[in-house]
Amino acid sequence: MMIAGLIDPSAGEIRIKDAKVAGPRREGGVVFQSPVLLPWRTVLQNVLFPIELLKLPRRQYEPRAMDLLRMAKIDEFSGLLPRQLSGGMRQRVAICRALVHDPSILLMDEPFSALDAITRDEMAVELQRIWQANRKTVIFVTHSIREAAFLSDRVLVMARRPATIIDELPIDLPRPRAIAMTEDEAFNRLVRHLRNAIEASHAE
Amino acid sequence: MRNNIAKRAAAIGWPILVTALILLAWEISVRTLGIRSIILPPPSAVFAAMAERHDLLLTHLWPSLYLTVLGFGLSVVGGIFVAVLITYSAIVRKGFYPVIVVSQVIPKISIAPLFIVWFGTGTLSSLLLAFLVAFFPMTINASMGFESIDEDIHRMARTFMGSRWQIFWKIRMPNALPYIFGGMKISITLAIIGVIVSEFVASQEGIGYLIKLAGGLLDTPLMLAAITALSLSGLALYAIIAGVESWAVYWQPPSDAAGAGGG
Repeated sequence: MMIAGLIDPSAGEIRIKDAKVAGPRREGGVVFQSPVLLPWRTVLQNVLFPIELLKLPRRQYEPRAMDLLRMAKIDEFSGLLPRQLSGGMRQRVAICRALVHDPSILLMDEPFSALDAITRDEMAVELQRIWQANRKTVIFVTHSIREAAFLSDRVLVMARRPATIIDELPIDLPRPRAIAMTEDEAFNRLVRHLRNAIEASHAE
Repeated sequence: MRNNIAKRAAAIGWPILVTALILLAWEISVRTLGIRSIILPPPSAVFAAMAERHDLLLTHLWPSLYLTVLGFGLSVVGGIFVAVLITYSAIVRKGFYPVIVVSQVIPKISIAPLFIVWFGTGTLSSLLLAFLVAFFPMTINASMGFESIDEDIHRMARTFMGSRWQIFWKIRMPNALPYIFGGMKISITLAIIGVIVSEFVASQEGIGYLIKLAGGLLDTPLMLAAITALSLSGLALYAIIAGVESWAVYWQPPSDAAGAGGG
Protein backbone atom coordinates (compact mmCIF):
# COMPACT_ATOMS: atom_id res chain seq x y z
CA MET A 1 0.00 0.00 0.00
CA MET A 2 2.83 2.37 0.83
CA ILE A 3 4.85 1.32 -2.20
CA ALA A 4 1.77 1.92 -4.34
CA GLY A 5 1.57 5.43 -2.92
CA LEU A 6 -1.82 4.88 -1.29
CA ILE A 7 -0.55 5.32 2.26
CA ASP A 8 2.24 7.64 3.40
CA PRO A 9 5.04 5.96 5.35
CA SER A 10 5.05 6.76 9.08
CA ALA A 11 8.79 7.39 8.91
CA GLY A 12 11.43 7.45 6.22
CA GLU A 13 10.72 7.41 2.51
CA ILE A 14 10.25 4.99 -0.36
CA ARG A 15 12.26 5.42 -3.52
CA ILE A 16 11.66 3.72 -6.84
CA LYS A 17 14.56 4.23 -9.27
CA ASP A 18 15.76 7.08 -7.05
CA ALA A 19 12.45 8.92 -7.25
CA LYS A 20 10.53 9.40 -4.03
CA VAL A 21 7.06 7.84 -3.91
CA ALA A 22 4.64 10.61 -3.01
CA GLY A 23 1.40 9.23 -4.44
CA PRO A 24 0.07 6.69 -6.94
CA ARG A 25 2.24 6.56 -10.02
CA ARG A 26 2.18 5.18 -13.54
CA GLU A 27 4.93 2.61 -13.09
CA GLY A 28 3.01 0.56 -10.57
CA GLY A 29 0.43 -2.13 -11.19
CA VAL A 30 -1.44 -3.41 -8.14
CA VAL A 31 -3.23 -6.70 -7.50
CA PHE A 32 -5.31 -6.79 -4.32
CA GLN A 33 -6.52 -9.67 -2.14
CA SER A 34 -9.86 -9.68 -3.91
CA PRO A 35 -10.11 -9.16 -7.68
CA VAL A 36 -12.03 -5.83 -7.29
CA LEU A 37 -13.44 -5.99 -10.79
CA LEU A 38 -16.21 -3.61 -11.80
CA PRO A 39 -19.32 -5.80 -12.13
CA TRP A 40 -20.82 -3.73 -14.99
CA ARG A 41 -17.77 -4.13 -17.20
CA THR A 42 -16.85 -7.13 -19.29
CA VAL A 43 -13.52 -8.88 -18.73
CA LEU A 44 -11.88 -6.92 -21.55
CA GLN A 45 -13.36 -3.60 -20.37
CA ASN A 46 -12.09 -4.32 -16.86
CA VAL A 47 -8.59 -5.01 -18.14
CA LEU A 48 -8.68 -1.75 -20.11
CA PHE A 49 -9.92 0.26 -17.12
CA PRO A 50 -6.45 1.61 -16.16
CA ILE A 51 -5.95 2.70 -19.78
CA GLU A 52 -9.10 4.79 -19.53
CA LEU A 53 -8.13 6.29 -16.20
CA LEU A 54 -4.63 7.09 -17.43
CA LYS A 55 -6.14 8.55 -20.63
CA LEU A 56 -3.99 6.37 -22.88
CA PRO A 57 -5.14 5.51 -26.43
CA ARG A 58 -7.55 2.61 -26.00
CA ARG A 59 -7.17 1.36 -29.55
CA GLN A 60 -3.43 0.95 -29.11
CA TYR A 61 -3.81 -1.01 -25.87
CA GLU A 62 -6.68 -3.27 -26.84
CA PRO A 63 -4.47 -5.82 -28.68
CA ARG A 64 -2.13 -5.81 -25.69
CA ALA A 65 -5.05 -6.47 -23.35
CA MET A 66 -6.11 -9.39 -25.55
CA ASP A 67 -2.53 -10.73 -25.54
CA LEU A 68 -2.49 -10.62 -21.75
CA LEU A 69 -5.85 -12.41 -21.56
CA ARG A 70 -4.54 -15.04 -23.96
CA MET A 71 -1.45 -15.46 -21.82
CA ALA A 72 -3.64 -15.89 -18.74
CA LYS A 73 -5.74 -18.38 -20.78
CA ILE A 74 -8.96 -16.43 -20.35
CA ASP A 75 -9.16 -14.71 -23.75
CA GLU A 76 -12.25 -16.70 -24.73
CA PHE A 77 -14.09 -15.07 -21.79
CA SER A 78 -13.20 -11.49 -22.76
CA GLY A 79 -16.85 -10.61 -23.39
CA LEU A 80 -18.25 -12.05 -20.15
CA LEU A 81 -19.13 -10.16 -16.98
CA PRO A 82 -17.17 -10.85 -13.77
CA ARG A 83 -20.07 -12.66 -12.11
CA GLN A 84 -19.93 -15.29 -14.85
CA LEU A 85 -16.35 -16.22 -13.92
CA SER A 86 -14.87 -18.38 -11.16
CA GLY A 87 -12.76 -16.86 -8.38
CA GLY A 88 -9.48 -17.97 -9.94
CA MET A 89 -10.42 -16.56 -13.35
CA ARG A 90 -11.42 -13.23 -11.77
CA GLN A 91 -8.05 -12.94 -10.07
CA ARG A 92 -6.36 -13.63 -13.41
CA VAL A 93 -8.36 -10.76 -14.92
CA ALA A 94 -7.10 -8.57 -12.06
CA ILE A 95 -3.50 -9.58 -12.85
CA CYS A 96 -4.02 -8.72 -16.53
CA ARG A 97 -5.47 -5.37 -15.47
CA ALA A 98 -2.42 -4.65 -13.32
CA LEU A 99 -0.13 -5.38 -16.29
CA VAL A 100 -2.04 -3.68 -19.10
CA HIS A 101 -0.36 -0.27 -18.92
CA ASP A 102 3.04 -1.99 -18.88
CA PRO A 103 4.13 -0.97 -15.40
CA SER A 104 7.72 -1.62 -14.36
CA ILE A 105 6.69 -2.92 -10.94
CA LEU A 106 3.88 -5.31 -10.10
CA LEU A 107 2.66 -5.05 -6.51
CA MET A 108 0.71 -8.06 -5.27
CA ASP A 109 -0.90 -7.97 -1.85
CA GLU A 110 -1.85 -11.54 -0.90
CA PRO A 111 -3.44 -11.95 -4.32
CA PHE A 112 -4.26 -15.65 -3.95
CA SER A 113 -5.37 -15.67 -0.31
CA ALA A 114 -9.06 -15.96 -1.17
CA LEU A 115 -8.58 -19.01 -3.39
CA ASP A 116 -8.75 -22.68 -2.49
CA ALA A 117 -5.49 -24.62 -2.10
CA ILE A 118 -5.53 -26.30 -5.51
CA THR A 119 -6.43 -23.13 -7.43
CA ARG A 120 -3.83 -21.30 -5.38
CA ASP A 121 -1.06 -23.64 -6.55
CA GLU A 122 -2.27 -23.39 -10.13
CA MET A 123 -2.28 -19.60 -9.93
CA ALA A 124 1.29 -19.60 -8.59
CA VAL A 125 2.40 -21.63 -11.62
CA GLU A 126 0.41 -19.32 -13.89
CA LEU A 127 1.93 -16.23 -12.33
CA GLN A 128 5.41 -17.65 -12.86
CA ARG A 129 4.55 -18.28 -16.50
CA ILE A 130 3.18 -14.76 -16.98
CA TRP A 131 6.22 -13.35 -15.25
CA GLN A 132 8.58 -15.27 -17.53
CA ALA A 133 6.88 -13.89 -20.61
CA ASN A 134 6.65 -10.40 -19.17
CA ARG A 135 9.60 -9.72 -16.93
CA LYS A 136 8.71 -7.26 -14.20
CA THR A 137 9.84 -6.60 -10.71
CA VAL A 138 7.16 -8.26 -8.63
CA ILE A 139 6.69 -7.47 -4.97
CA PHE A 140 4.53 -10.24 -3.63
CA VAL A 141 3.11 -10.17 -0.10
CA THR A 142 1.91 -13.49 1.28
CA HIS A 143 1.27 -15.32 4.53
CA SER A 144 2.05 -18.64 2.88
CA ILE A 145 5.66 -19.69 3.38
CA ARG A 146 5.42 -22.27 0.60
CA GLU A 147 4.04 -19.70 -1.78
CA ALA A 148 6.83 -17.26 -0.93
CA ALA A 149 9.52 -19.90 -1.42
CA PHE A 150 7.94 -21.21 -4.61
CA LEU A 151 7.60 -17.89 -6.39
CA SER A 152 10.48 -15.74 -5.18
CA ASP A 153 14.02 -14.96 -6.12
CA ARG A 154 14.40 -13.26 -2.79
CA VAL A 155 12.24 -13.62 0.34
CA LEU A 156 12.09 -10.89 2.97
CA VAL A 157 10.62 -12.07 6.27
CA MET A 158 8.70 -9.45 8.19
CA ALA A 159 7.93 -9.49 11.90
CA ARG A 160 4.72 -8.00 13.15
CA ARG A 161 4.53 -5.07 15.56
CA PRO A 162 6.67 -3.33 14.70
CA ALA A 163 6.61 -4.53 11.08
CA THR A 164 10.31 -4.81 10.37
CA ILE A 165 12.31 -7.00 8.02
CA ILE A 166 14.00 -9.65 10.15
CA ASP A 167 15.44 -11.99 7.58
CA GLU A 168 16.38 -12.17 3.94
CA LEU A 169 16.73 -15.39 1.99
CA PRO A 170 17.71 -15.77 -1.67
CA ILE A 171 15.92 -18.62 -3.43
CA ASP A 172 18.16 -20.03 -6.11
CA LEU A 173 15.97 -22.89 -7.30
CA PRO A 174 15.94 -23.30 -11.08
CA ARG A 175 13.01 -21.98 -13.14
CA PRO A 176 10.50 -22.83 -14.41
CA ARG A 177 9.50 -24.33 -11.09
CA ALA A 178 6.77 -26.95 -10.94
CA ILE A 179 4.47 -27.80 -8.04
CA ALA A 180 6.23 -31.20 -7.85
CA MET A 181 9.35 -29.30 -6.79
CA THR A 182 7.70 -28.50 -3.45
CA GLU A 183 8.33 -32.13 -2.49
CA ASP A 184 12.10 -31.73 -2.93
CA GLU A 185 14.47 -31.62 -0.02
CA ALA A 186 16.13 -28.38 -1.23
CA PHE A 187 12.78 -26.60 -1.32
CA ASN A 188 11.73 -27.87 2.07
CA ARG A 189 15.03 -26.82 3.62
CA LEU A 190 14.31 -23.25 2.50
CA VAL A 191 10.76 -23.44 3.83
CA ARG A 192 12.02 -24.72 7.17
CA HIS A 193 14.54 -21.90 7.37
CA LEU A 194 11.83 -19.31 6.76
CA ARG A 195 9.47 -20.93 9.24
CA ASN A 196 12.14 -20.91 11.92
CA ALA A 197 12.85 -17.24 11.32
CA ILE A 198 9.16 -16.39 11.73
CA GLU A 199 8.69 -18.57 14.80
CA ALA A 200 11.75 -17.04 16.42
CA SER A 201 10.27 -13.58 15.93
CA HIS A 202 6.96 -14.70 17.47
CA ALA A 203 8.71 -16.20 20.49
CA GLU A 204 10.31 -12.88 21.42
CA MET B 1 -34.37 -22.41 -20.82
CA ARG B 2 -37.70 -24.21 -20.65
CA ASN B 3 -37.41 -24.29 -16.89
CA ASN B 4 -37.00 -20.49 -16.85
CA ILE B 5 -40.06 -19.94 -18.96
CA ALA B 6 -42.06 -22.22 -16.68
CA LYS B 7 -40.81 -20.28 -13.65
CA ARG B 8 -41.75 -16.93 -15.16
CA ALA B 9 -45.17 -18.22 -16.16
CA ALA B 10 -45.70 -19.40 -12.58
CA ALA B 11 -44.50 -16.05 -11.24
CA ILE B 12 -47.10 -14.23 -13.33
CA GLY B 13 -49.78 -16.92 -13.33
CA TRP B 14 -50.29 -17.37 -9.59
CA PRO B 15 -50.96 -13.70 -8.71
CA ILE B 16 -53.33 -13.43 -11.68
CA LEU B 17 -55.19 -16.50 -10.52
CA VAL B 18 -55.49 -15.14 -6.97
CA THR B 19 -56.74 -11.77 -8.29
CA ALA B 20 -59.33 -13.52 -10.44
CA LEU B 21 -60.51 -15.56 -7.44
CA ILE B 22 -60.84 -12.44 -5.26
CA LEU B 23 -62.86 -10.67 -7.97
CA LEU B 24 -65.06 -13.73 -8.35
CA ALA B 25 -65.68 -13.98 -4.61
CA TRP B 26 -66.49 -10.25 -4.52
CA GLU B 27 -68.96 -10.58 -7.41
CA ILE B 28 -70.71 -13.61 -5.89
CA SER B 29 -70.95 -12.20 -2.35
CA VAL B 30 -72.30 -8.83 -3.51
CA ARG B 31 -74.98 -10.62 -5.54
CA THR B 32 -75.99 -13.26 -3.00
CA LEU B 33 -75.94 -10.85 -0.02
CA GLY B 34 -77.86 -8.24 -2.00
CA ILE B 35 -75.46 -5.41 -1.16
CA ARG B 36 -76.61 -2.16 -2.75
CA SER B 37 -74.45 -0.82 -5.57
CA ILE B 38 -74.07 2.50 -3.76
CA ILE B 39 -72.21 0.75 -0.92
CA LEU B 40 -70.22 -1.79 -2.94
CA PRO B 41 -70.86 -2.39 -6.63
CA PRO B 42 -69.78 -5.76 -8.03
CA PRO B 43 -66.64 -5.83 -10.22
CA SER B 44 -68.81 -6.27 -13.29
CA ALA B 45 -70.50 -2.92 -12.59
CA VAL B 46 -67.12 -1.27 -12.11
CA PHE B 47 -65.86 -2.60 -15.44
CA ALA B 48 -69.10 -1.52 -17.10
CA ALA B 49 -68.62 2.00 -15.68
CA MET B 50 -65.06 2.02 -17.01
CA ALA B 51 -66.19 1.02 -20.48
CA GLU B 52 -69.15 3.41 -20.62
CA ARG B 53 -67.41 6.46 -19.27
CA HIS B 54 -63.92 6.02 -20.60
CA ASP B 55 -63.98 9.49 -22.15
CA LEU B 56 -64.62 11.09 -18.78
CA LEU B 57 -62.03 8.91 -17.08
CA LEU B 58 -59.35 9.64 -19.67
CA THR B 59 -60.08 13.37 -19.58
CA HIS B 60 -59.31 13.39 -15.87
CA LEU B 61 -56.61 10.72 -15.90
CA TRP B 62 -54.41 12.50 -18.40
CA PRO B 63 -53.65 15.72 -16.41
CA SER B 64 -53.01 13.66 -13.25
CA LEU B 65 -50.56 11.35 -15.01
CA TYR B 66 -48.88 14.28 -16.72
CA LEU B 67 -48.27 15.98 -13.36
CA THR B 68 -47.19 12.69 -11.77
CA VAL B 69 -44.56 12.01 -14.43
CA LEU B 70 -43.36 15.62 -14.40
CA GLY B 71 -43.13 15.75 -10.59
CA PHE B 72 -41.40 12.37 -10.58
CA GLY B 73 -38.93 13.50 -13.25
CA LEU B 74 -38.07 16.61 -11.25
CA SER B 75 -37.62 14.53 -8.11
CA VAL B 76 -35.22 12.17 -9.92
CA VAL B 77 -33.09 15.02 -11.26
CA GLY B 78 -33.28 16.97 -7.99
CA GLY B 79 -32.69 13.90 -5.83
CA ILE B 80 -29.60 12.84 -7.75
CA PHE B 81 -28.27 16.39 -7.69
CA VAL B 82 -28.71 16.70 -3.91
CA ALA B 83 -27.21 13.21 -3.46
CA VAL B 84 -24.09 14.36 -5.32
CA LEU B 85 -23.86 17.36 -2.97
CA ILE B 86 -24.25 15.04 0.03
CA THR B 87 -21.48 12.81 -1.32
CA TYR B 88 -18.97 15.53 -2.09
CA SER B 89 -19.72 18.35 0.35
CA ALA B 90 -18.95 17.79 4.01
CA ILE B 91 -21.12 20.78 4.95
CA VAL B 92 -24.17 19.37 3.19
CA ARG B 93 -23.52 15.86 4.53
CA LYS B 94 -23.00 16.89 8.14
CA GLY B 95 -25.37 19.84 8.29
CA PHE B 96 -28.24 19.31 5.90
CA TYR B 97 -28.50 15.55 5.55
CA PRO B 98 -29.58 14.90 9.17
CA VAL B 99 -32.12 17.74 8.85
CA ILE B 100 -33.46 16.18 5.65
CA VAL B 101 -33.75 12.78 7.34
CA VAL B 102 -35.42 14.12 10.49
CA SER B 103 -37.82 16.25 8.43
CA GLN B 104 -39.19 12.92 7.19
CA VAL B 105 -41.35 12.71 10.32
CA ILE B 106 -43.54 15.46 8.82
CA PRO B 107 -46.34 13.72 6.96
CA LYS B 108 -45.72 15.60 3.74
CA ILE B 109 -49.24 15.35 2.41
CA SER B 110 -50.41 17.36 5.44
CA ILE B 111 -48.68 20.30 3.74
CA ALA B 112 -51.10 20.09 0.78
CA PRO B 113 -53.50 22.79 2.10
CA LEU B 114 -50.52 25.08 2.72
CA PHE B 115 -49.41 24.60 -0.88
CA ILE B 116 -52.91 25.57 -2.03
CA VAL B 117 -52.56 28.81 -0.04
CA TRP B 118 -49.14 29.48 -1.53
CA PHE B 119 -49.45 28.28 -5.09
CA GLY B 120 -53.20 28.35 -5.77
CA THR B 121 -55.63 25.61 -6.72
CA GLY B 122 -54.02 24.96 -10.11
CA THR B 123 -51.55 22.46 -11.39
CA LEU B 124 -48.55 24.07 -9.72
CA SER B 125 -49.65 22.92 -6.26
CA SER B 126 -50.14 19.34 -7.47
CA LEU B 127 -46.80 19.33 -9.26
CA LEU B 128 -44.91 20.65 -6.26
CA LEU B 129 -46.54 18.23 -3.84
CA ALA B 130 -45.72 15.32 -6.14
CA PHE B 131 -42.15 16.56 -6.34
CA LEU B 132 -41.91 16.99 -2.56
CA VAL B 133 -43.09 13.51 -1.62
CA ALA B 134 -41.08 11.80 -4.37
CA PHE B 135 -37.90 13.76 -3.75
CA PHE B 136 -36.73 12.23 -0.44
CA PRO B 137 -36.57 8.54 -1.32
CA MET B 138 -34.70 9.52 -4.48
CA THR B 139 -32.17 11.58 -2.54
CA ILE B 140 -31.61 8.99 0.14
CA ASN B 141 -31.34 6.07 -2.27
CA ALA B 142 -29.04 7.88 -4.68
CA SER B 143 -26.73 9.06 -1.91
CA MET B 144 -26.61 5.52 -0.51
CA GLY B 145 -25.63 4.34 -3.98
CA PHE B 146 -22.87 6.94 -4.37
CA GLU B 147 -21.49 6.19 -0.90
CA SER B 148 -21.60 2.39 -0.96
CA ILE B 149 -18.41 2.00 -2.97
CA ASP B 150 -16.26 -0.93 -2.01
CA GLU B 151 -13.14 0.57 -0.38
CA ASP B 152 -10.95 -1.74 -2.49
CA ILE B 153 -12.50 -0.50 -5.73
CA HIS B 154 -11.79 3.06 -4.65
CA ARG B 155 -8.20 2.09 -3.85
CA MET B 156 -7.80 0.27 -7.13
CA ALA B 157 -8.97 3.35 -9.07
CA ARG B 158 -6.57 5.52 -7.11
CA THR B 159 -3.56 3.31 -7.86
CA PHE B 160 -4.32 3.87 -11.54
CA MET B 161 -4.45 7.59 -10.82
CA GLY B 162 -8.17 7.98 -11.36
CA SER B 163 -9.37 11.55 -10.82
CA ARG B 164 -12.44 12.39 -8.70
CA TRP B 165 -14.33 13.12 -11.89
CA GLN B 166 -13.40 9.73 -13.38
CA ILE B 167 -14.21 7.95 -10.13
CA PHE B 168 -17.63 9.60 -10.08
CA TRP B 169 -18.61 8.79 -13.67
CA LYS B 170 -16.92 5.42 -14.05
CA ILE B 171 -17.49 4.00 -10.56
CA ARG B 172 -19.92 5.90 -8.33
CA MET B 173 -22.56 6.48 -11.00
CA PRO B 174 -22.83 2.88 -12.27
CA ASN B 175 -22.60 1.63 -8.69
CA ALA B 176 -25.51 3.87 -7.70
CA LEU B 177 -27.74 2.84 -10.63
CA PRO B 178 -29.46 -0.08 -8.86
CA TYR B 179 -30.12 2.18 -5.86
CA ILE B 180 -31.41 4.97 -8.09
CA PHE B 181 -33.86 2.60 -9.76
CA GLY B 182 -34.93 1.34 -6.33
CA GLY B 183 -35.61 4.96 -5.36
CA MET B 184 -37.49 5.59 -8.62
CA LYS B 185 -39.84 2.69 -7.93
CA ILE B 186 -40.72 4.17 -4.55
CA SER B 187 -40.90 7.73 -5.88
CA ILE B 188 -43.25 7.04 -8.76
CA THR B 189 -45.92 5.62 -6.44
CA LEU B 190 -45.44 8.50 -4.00
CA ALA B 191 -45.69 11.07 -6.82
CA ILE B 192 -49.10 9.65 -7.72
CA ILE B 193 -50.21 9.99 -4.09
CA GLY B 194 -48.97 13.59 -4.02
CA VAL B 195 -50.96 14.55 -7.11
CA ILE B 196 -54.15 12.79 -5.98
CA VAL B 197 -54.06 14.32 -2.49
CA SER B 198 -53.52 17.77 -3.95
CA GLU B 199 -56.49 17.21 -6.28
CA PHE B 200 -58.59 16.07 -3.32
CA VAL B 201 -57.85 19.29 -1.49
CA ALA B 202 -58.64 21.72 -4.29
CA SER B 203 -58.80 21.17 -8.00
CA GLN B 204 -61.22 21.32 -10.92
CA GLU B 205 -59.71 18.49 -12.86
CA GLY B 206 -57.72 15.30 -12.47
CA ILE B 207 -58.53 11.80 -11.35
CA GLY B 208 -58.41 12.82 -7.66
CA TYR B 209 -61.02 15.45 -8.35
CA LEU B 210 -63.15 12.87 -10.21
CA ILE B 211 -62.96 10.41 -7.28
CA LYS B 212 -64.08 13.12 -4.88
CA LEU B 213 -66.83 14.28 -7.26
CA ALA B 214 -68.14 10.72 -7.72
CA GLY B 215 -68.17 10.33 -3.94
CA GLY B 216 -70.24 13.49 -3.60
CA LEU B 217 -72.68 12.21 -6.23
CA LEU B 218 -72.83 8.79 -4.47
CA ASP B 219 -71.77 7.29 -7.82
CA THR B 220 -69.74 4.47 -6.30
CA PRO B 221 -69.22 2.51 -9.57
CA LEU B 222 -67.65 5.61 -11.15
CA MET B 223 -65.50 6.13 -8.08
CA LEU B 224 -64.22 2.55 -8.19
CA ALA B 225 -63.74 2.83 -11.96
CA ALA B 226 -61.58 5.92 -11.41
CA ILE B 227 -59.58 4.17 -8.67
CA THR B 228 -59.08 1.14 -10.93
CA ALA B 229 -57.95 3.30 -13.85
CA LEU B 230 -55.54 5.12 -11.53
CA SER B 231 -54.14 1.88 -10.11
CA LEU B 232 -53.62 0.42 -13.58
CA SER B 233 -51.80 3.59 -14.66
CA GLY B 234 -49.61 3.39 -11.56
CA LEU B 235 -48.84 -0.23 -12.34
CA ALA B 236 -47.93 0.70 -15.92
CA LEU B 237 -45.58 3.49 -14.78
CA TYR B 238 -43.94 1.11 -12.31
CA ALA B 239 -43.57 -1.54 -15.02
CA ILE B 240 -41.90 0.97 -17.35
CA ILE B 241 -39.32 1.81 -14.66
CA ALA B 242 -38.73 -1.87 -13.87
CA GLY B 243 -38.28 -2.54 -17.60
CA VAL B 244 -35.74 0.28 -18.04
CA GLU B 245 -34.00 -0.97 -14.90
CA SER B 246 -33.48 -4.50 -16.19
CA TRP B 247 -32.00 -3.01 -19.34
CA ALA B 248 -29.78 -0.44 -17.60
CA VAL B 249 -28.63 -2.60 -14.69
CA TYR B 250 -27.77 -5.51 -16.99
CA TRP B 251 -25.00 -6.84 -14.75
CA GLN B 252 -27.30 -7.89 -11.93
CA PRO B 253 -29.14 -11.19 -12.10
CA PRO B 254 -32.88 -10.48 -12.51
CA SER B 255 -33.82 -11.90 -9.10
CA ASP B 256 -31.55 -9.39 -7.36
CA ALA B 257 -32.47 -6.45 -9.54
CA ALA B 258 -36.08 -6.50 -8.44
CA GLY B 259 -35.38 -5.76 -4.81
CA ALA B 260 -32.06 -3.92 -4.98
CA GLY B 261 -31.70 -0.62 -3.22
CA GLY B 262 -35.24 -0.42 -1.99
CA GLY B 263 -35.64 1.55 1.20
